[in-house]
This record gives sequence, structure tokens and C-alpha cells, in this order.
Amino acid sequence: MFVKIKDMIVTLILKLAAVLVVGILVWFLYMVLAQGLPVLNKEFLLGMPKEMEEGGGIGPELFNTFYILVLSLIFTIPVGIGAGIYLAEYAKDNIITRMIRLSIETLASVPSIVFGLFGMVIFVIKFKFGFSILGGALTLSIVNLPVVVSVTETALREVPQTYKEASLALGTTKWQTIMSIMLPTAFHKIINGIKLAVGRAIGESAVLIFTAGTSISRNYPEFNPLSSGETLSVHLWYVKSIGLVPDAERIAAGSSAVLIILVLVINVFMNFYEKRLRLKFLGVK
Amino acid sequence: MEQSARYVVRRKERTSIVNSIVDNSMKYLLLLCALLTVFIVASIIVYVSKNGINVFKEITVEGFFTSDYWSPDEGEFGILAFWRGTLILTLLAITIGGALGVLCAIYMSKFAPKKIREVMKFAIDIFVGIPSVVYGFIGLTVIVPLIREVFPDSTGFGFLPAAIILSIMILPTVISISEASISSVDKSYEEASYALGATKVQTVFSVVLPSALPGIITAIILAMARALGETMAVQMVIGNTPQVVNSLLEPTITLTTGIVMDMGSCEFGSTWSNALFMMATVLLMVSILLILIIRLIQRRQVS
Amino acid sequence: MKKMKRLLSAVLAAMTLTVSVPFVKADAKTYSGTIKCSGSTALLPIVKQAAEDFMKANPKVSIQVTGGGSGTGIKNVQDGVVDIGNSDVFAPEGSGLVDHQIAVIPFLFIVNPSVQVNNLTKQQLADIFSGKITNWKEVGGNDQKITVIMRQASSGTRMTVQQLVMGSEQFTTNAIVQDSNGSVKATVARTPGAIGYVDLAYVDKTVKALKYEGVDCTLDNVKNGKYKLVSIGHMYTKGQPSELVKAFINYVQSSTFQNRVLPFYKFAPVNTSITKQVSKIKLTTSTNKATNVKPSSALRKSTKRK
Repeated sequence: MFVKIKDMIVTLILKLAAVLVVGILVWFLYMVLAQGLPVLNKEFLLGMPKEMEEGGGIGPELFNTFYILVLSLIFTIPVGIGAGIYLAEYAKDNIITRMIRLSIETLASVPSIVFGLFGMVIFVIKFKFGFSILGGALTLSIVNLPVVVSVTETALREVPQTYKEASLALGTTKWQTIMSIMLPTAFHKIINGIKLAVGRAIGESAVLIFTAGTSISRNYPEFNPLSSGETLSVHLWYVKSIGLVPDAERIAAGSSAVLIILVLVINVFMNFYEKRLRLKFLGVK
Repeated sequence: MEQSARYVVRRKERTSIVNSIVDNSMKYLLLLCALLTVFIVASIIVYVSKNGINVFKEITVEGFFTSDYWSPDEGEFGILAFWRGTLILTLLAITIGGALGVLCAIYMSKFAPKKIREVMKFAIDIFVGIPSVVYGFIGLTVIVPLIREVFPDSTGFGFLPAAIILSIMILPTVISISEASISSVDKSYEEASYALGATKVQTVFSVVLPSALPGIITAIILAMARALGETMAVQMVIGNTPQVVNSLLEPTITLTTGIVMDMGSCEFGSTWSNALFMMATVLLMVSILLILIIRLIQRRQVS
Repeated sequence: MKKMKRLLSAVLAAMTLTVSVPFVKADAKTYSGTIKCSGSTALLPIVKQAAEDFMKANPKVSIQVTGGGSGTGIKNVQDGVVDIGNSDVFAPEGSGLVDHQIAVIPFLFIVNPSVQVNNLTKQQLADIFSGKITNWKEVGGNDQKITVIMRQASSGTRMTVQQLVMGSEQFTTNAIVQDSNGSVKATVARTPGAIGYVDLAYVDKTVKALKYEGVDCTLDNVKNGKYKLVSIGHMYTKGQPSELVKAFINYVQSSTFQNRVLPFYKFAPVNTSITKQVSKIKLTTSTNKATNVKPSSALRKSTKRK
């Protein structure tokens, strides 16, 4: 009897926690979308921003967001997954491994502003990229490294030992086993890490203000990675705290909504991809 | 016949040599990836501390860390209020957000029906994409006034709104990583526990959770790291007043907000700027320290 | 190869052209190239606007504008990372930078609409911001606690307030600090009894503008010298600017921009009498006022190396 009551109470607490979390989220989404959705139309999404008059759009910012996101992932994903594989499969428990682990965890706690200044000193000044899409993307990829590394490592460790042994017994090398068995089996979990990285990349502003700049190129769309690239989050920060357009509230509300919808769409897409992967390699839904 | 067999053998040998070369070189390539992160962290630490160390040309080490007298106009740079603020705020956020997040993760992975789990998972992924600025403004325009209504004597700024916002911000990290690690605990453990007549709650708490603990701890560490480093949102609601407070409802400051407020605008190379860089160094050291402590606890528990 | 040659000859032709016609009137000339600016967030909107206008008139010019704060701008221009460093404070002496003043930025004190006061004197403001007056009834308002909202210590506006309003008084430490005009306005608008200061451009109906010494903060009052709370916007270059950069700065200083565009943003033109009255407000930490030991400071432990 006592056990049953205890069970009920614990289950109730867990349920409450879940309801609370989802409640907070729904409330946040409501706050953002209720104000933002009415703003969205074609002119807003594709139009050029304005400094003075009402009716500015966010076209170039939206484009820059995607561009910086993709460029940063091109760097983060191979290096992050590579380091994750090393930690999960090759690393022995020695001082170097411990150093690597500590570095990754430390990297995760570096404040955005320090990343921003570091990126400015290294990419903007030393490498002479200027305040540019490339400088922003590279700095952002450093920001995102830790989460991809740790998620990859965890995912690989969770691949059943039997899979690996079976593959090795067939005479494949370790590398082949990793590439053909381990990574595909773990990939749907690694995608979770990439999702976190995508979210961070889309939402980050402090890092990009100091590296990618707060202005847009005169061309749109601008593919030159050395031109300055204000992203949507930076634009949001700009209109909220500095900008002088009369309809700053409207643009901020619209931009926030677009940012959330962007994450939503990317997540739907990735979930779909993840399911297909799981179906392909694990045969389960 | 014999020849072709020999050929096959030779070819096999050759592929195995190629394979082992690939295997070995890959190992070093991967090591390189891992070492790259060490290199990046090392260069960040060197860059930040190289600038920061200069502050001690004009400020005493003891004064810098133990004094609460921060007044750049007067050339006084004591950061007691800042590091204390960071420590308290991080602990608060981790306690609230960590507890809520882990409970939610347990529910999701072990109690929730599949449909609900899918919906929750999706919802949490969306959480991540909300930019800090949006969190900050919701904090400033909704949470701070709310707190002021509940506690009319306060300004509404301080640890409390910052801790609330920060706990919400770290939820996705806590939930997604700990949920993954709880879900991946070997099912046979659970079955064995049920076979022994344990209830679901007993099984989850005494069998599943202990095996998932390393993953949960990783989640907490990453979340803590996020909390330590978050600036934009905290900055809008904490008040940024360099004073030591003993209440959750008085404006105070943290290392990150102190850095972000003045870093861009004060003169580079001045004592002031160096003090900010030293604060960044302290922040890095604090996070390394916290990570080491958690690792130590973890190791002790395992053994 | 052929292409290369053609390109090379085109470049050479372009170069000779630029060299051979250096004295053509600025507006008759087409410029090309890139200008990079960074720095003060207070100046960001007008510099972005100027860049937009200039690029429209010169289709081959690309101007990149970045914020980051006055200190960032001055550091970047010293390092040669940008061509122009924007700042709303004077660069430190001996920096070797050339100063181009581009705008007068009026700022004013704003209060939450719940506050009954309409006008404050310099002395009253100094007392409020130093923490001596903590209730609105002491300055003729209703019985309401004062919440002071300030900009961060490195902000140009705060340094100007220190110099023009506070004098030898120190800012109270018991204040909410926000690091942008937008956040200060949002905080004042939502905090009963709050007072803060923002640049004129940011004032809207969510907050109440105060008179300073009985004078309304308007562009006319700034131009005729009645209203005194302003700071100066600068563009700094390392040495004399290149022809292209000079042309851009000339545009910003031109009467078109100064008299048509600046007023739209509630900035005043730079060639008014007030410019000369504003004494130098420097980026460096102000000199220590040894004679003026505050009681709060006396209790605290100094961190300085003896």
C-alpha cells in the first residue's frame, strides 16, 4: 500500500514537471507568435530593411542567417564528429584524453562575448577577414563544437557492443566498422546534437556582433563570404536596443516569430530525416 | 588455379595493408580533431589571460578578488560582487532548471505515452532556437513586472528573475541530453528488476537512473556551462549593479554581464579593459573548477 | 590568359583614371571600393543611413558598418581593421587619430509616466543620481520611491552626464544598469517611479520626457544653445583618410546630410554653437578626484597598488 502511494506521488511529480515545462514553452511560443505572426508577409520576409521609414523587411538578414549557419556547420560537423569518434573509440584513459574532455567542457562555458572578442582578434584582425560572414561562421563553429563532440561521443558509446564485435569478427578494420556500422547506427542520436547547434547558430547574437558585423551587403543575395553579414538575431537585437525605425516593435516581433518558425521547420525536417535513418539502420520506428 | 588463388591472397594482403594505413591515419586525423579543441581552448585562455594579467600592474591581486569596491571612474576594480553573483546565479539556475529538466526527462523517457513523448521532444527542440534577446525581453517586460507586483518593495530586478529566465534557457540542454541517456539504458536491466517484483517507480529510480547517471551529469555540466556563459538575457533582468547582495530581490551583477556591458566601449589596453579580461579569465577558471569538482564526485560514486 | 590580360589592362586603365582626375568635384566623380566602419552604437543608425545613401549615389562602393561600442571602433581603426572608427567620446590623447565630428547627440532625462514631476534642475538630478534623494516627494512629486536607471559606465552618454550634470558627485551604486538606449527606455517605461536618460531619438509615448533646468529637449533649443545636454559624435581615421573615405565623411558632414537627414533622427547638426561648449569627454577613465572622498568609498577597501 505504502509503495503504491509513493509510486503515485512520484508519478504525479514527474507529470507536473513535464506539464510545467511544456506550459512554459507554450506560453513563450504564444508570446512570440501572437505578436509576430500577423507581421509576416512576403514583403517583410524578402524585403530590404530600412533605417528610417516604416515597412522594412528582413530579406538579407534571413539569407545571411542561412548562409552563416551552413558555413559554420560545414566546419563544426566534421571536426565535432571526428573528435567525438576519437573520444568514444580511440581515446585511452590518460592525461591527454582528460585534457581533451576538460577543454571541450570548458569551451562550452566560454561566455559569448569572449568568443566574440576572440573571433574578432583571430578572424577579423589576424586573418584579415574583416567583419564578415566567414569570420562570423568560423567563430560560431567554435561555439558549437562542444555540443556536437559530446553528443557524438555519447551516441557512439551507446551503440550495442555486439554490433561492433560482429563487424570486427568479419575482418573489417576499426575504421571501417566505425564508418559502416557505428556511425550510421548512432547517427540519429548525433542529429540531436546538430539540432542543438543549429538552434544556437540561429539564436546567437553576441558572438556575431563582433565578428559578422551589424550591416548587410549592398548586394542581395550576397554570396561573397567576406562581405559583412548581419543575421536575423543580430538584427533583432539591433532594432530592440539601438534601431530608430518607427516600427521597431513590429520588426522585432516579426523577426522573433521568423526565428522560431525557422527552428521549427529545420527540426521537422531533421526529425523526418532521423526517422528515415532509424528505419534504415535499426529497422525500428 | 593456384596462381589465381595466390593472386587473391596477395590482393587481400594489399587491401589489408591499405586498410591498416587508412585505419592508422584516420586515428591520427581524429586525434587531430580532438586536439584542435584543446588548441582552441588553450588559445582562448592565453589570449584572455594575457590581456587580463596586466590588470595586476595597477591593482593588487588580493584587492581584485576580495574587494567589492568596483568604480572604474576612481580606478577601483574589486570583483567580489561579480564572481559571487555568477556563482549564486549558476547554482540557482542549475538547482531549478536541472531538477525540473531531469524530472521532465524521466517522465518523457519512461512514463509518457509515445505520442506525448514525441510532441514533448519536438517542443524542446524548438526551445533551443529562441534567441537570448527574446528571453531577455520577455524577462524584462513580463517577469520583472510580475515579481514587482508580488514583492512591491523590490524593483523586480535581481537574482530571482535572472534565475527564472536562466533555468528556462538551460532546460533544453538538460532534457535532451539526459532523456537520451535514460532511454539508452539497457532494457534487460529493467526487465530483471520487474521480474524481481519491483514497481515502475522503483525500477526507474533504483535501476535505470543509476546507469544513466553519467549521461545526466554530462547534461548538467553542459547546462551549467551554458548558465555560466549566458549574457544577453541575464543582463536585461539582473540590474547590473556592482554590489554584494544577500537577497534574491536586489539588483546585482555577474561576471558575464559585467564583461559584456563595458567590454566593447571602454578603451582597449586600459586597466579597466584588462580588469574585464581578467574577469573573463576568472570565469574560465571557475568553469574549469566546477567541471573538475563534478568529475571528482562522479568518479567517487562510480568507485 | 587572354582574360587575365584584359582584366589587367582594365585595372590599369581604372588606376590611371583615378590618378589623372583627382581634382574633379566630388559629386561628379564615381567612386569604387569598400569602406569599413565600426564603433559607437549611439551613432549606428545614422552611419548606416549615411552608408545607404552614399552607396545609392555610388553604385560601385560598398560600405560595411558594425557596432561594438566606441572602444571597439577606436581600437579597430588604430589596428587598421576598419577605415573609420565611430565614437561618441573623444579618443584618448596621443592616439594619433584624426577627428571628424559628425553630429550632436542630444539626450534627456525620462521618467515613468506615473511620476508627477515635469522639470528637474541640475542640482536635483545630481542628488537623485548620487542617491541623496530617493523619493519623488522631495522634488515636488508624489510619495513614490525613485528607481534610478543608468547606462553602463563606459557609455558616452553616462560620461557626459557625469561631466555636465554630476560634477564632482559620484553615481549611486544602488541603480539598475542597462547597456542600450532601447533597454533603458523599456525599463523606465515598465518600472513605476523610474528615472533614466536616453538619446532624444528614443523618446516615445511610453515614457515621459523631463525638462532640464526648465528647457525642453528639442532640436531648436539645442541649435540655439538653450539646451545643454548633448554629446558629440565622431568619426576617427588613422591619419588623413583616403580619397574614398574622405568623400564619405564629406557626405556625412555635408549640409544635405546634416540639415535634412540628422534632424529626422533627432540628432543636431555639428556646426552649432553648442559644439564648442561641450568640453572634451574622454574614453579613458576620468582622473581620480582625490579631494572628494565619498563616505561610501571610505568604508570600502581600495584595490589600488600603492
